[in-house]
Amino acid sequence: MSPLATVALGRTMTAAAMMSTSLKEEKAAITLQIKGDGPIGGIVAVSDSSANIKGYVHNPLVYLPLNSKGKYDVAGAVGSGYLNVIKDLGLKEPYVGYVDLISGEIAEDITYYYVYSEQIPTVTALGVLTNATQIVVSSGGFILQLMPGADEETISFIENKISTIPPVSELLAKGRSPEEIIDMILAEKDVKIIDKSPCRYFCNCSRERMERNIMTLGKEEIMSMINEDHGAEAHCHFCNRKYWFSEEDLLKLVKG
Amino acid sequence: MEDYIVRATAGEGTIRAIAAATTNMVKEAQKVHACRRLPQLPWEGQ
Repeated sequence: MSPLATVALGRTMTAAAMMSTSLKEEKAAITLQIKGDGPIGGIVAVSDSSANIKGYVHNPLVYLPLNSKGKYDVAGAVGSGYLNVIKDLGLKEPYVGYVDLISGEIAEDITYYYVYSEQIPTVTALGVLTNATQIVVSSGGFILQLMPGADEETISFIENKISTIPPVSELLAKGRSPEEIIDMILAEKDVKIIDKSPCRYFCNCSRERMERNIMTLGKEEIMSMINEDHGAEAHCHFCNRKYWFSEEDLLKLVKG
Repeated sequence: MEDYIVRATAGEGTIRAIAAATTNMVKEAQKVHACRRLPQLPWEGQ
């Protein structure tokens, strides 16, 4: 995966991880889908309520020159398009929020989603830092949201503070913890830590899940896979694991 | 540093804050997707 794709995916997965903290139900999940007309094609990140996160980009080899600020051109890679936020709360239908991308830099788009779709004034910062050999050195982010009762003074306070702190990836690279970053911004506002929970990259794909995916293709399509291809290979985009289904396996699926 | 997410409130509940360290998670994604094979060329596998 190119460093540009890594940065774009890292920002999106970090956002999904933080946004998943709003999920209450054990089996709930949140999916961020970014689809643009830029060369990366699209980005998908999924997190469950325990912050098990997985993701992929459509074109992992995307390369663009650095932007005018000397940073990876994530906006250029994403292009114009939209962001879908899909919250599967275990109900009949998932909640789907849709907003147009306003920058393609991901953080601004997440902020816009919260403001436009959930009417929550929000500040989002996301950062992935790589070294000269394109290895990830640090990654992380923060989301600040104003709750009912926040006054103009609080808004100006946060705006002023945000403008004075270094990029979040730089802070993490220097060894600052997430608690310290929150404290750097909000120390004067009596910070109370509610909880701390782990997050990790984890793909929960399985043969059974792939069987269900194949079943959704319908009997006719599966029969053509049997007759023309003599089997099928299912590929998980999140972890690149491959599952081979022989003619006999596919016949069992058709017969139910 | 391990990967984790912190939730906090401030300003007597008028500010909600979430911060995360995700370095290992993104490194893992980089590793997983670095292994994605390119389409096989005609002369490969012979």
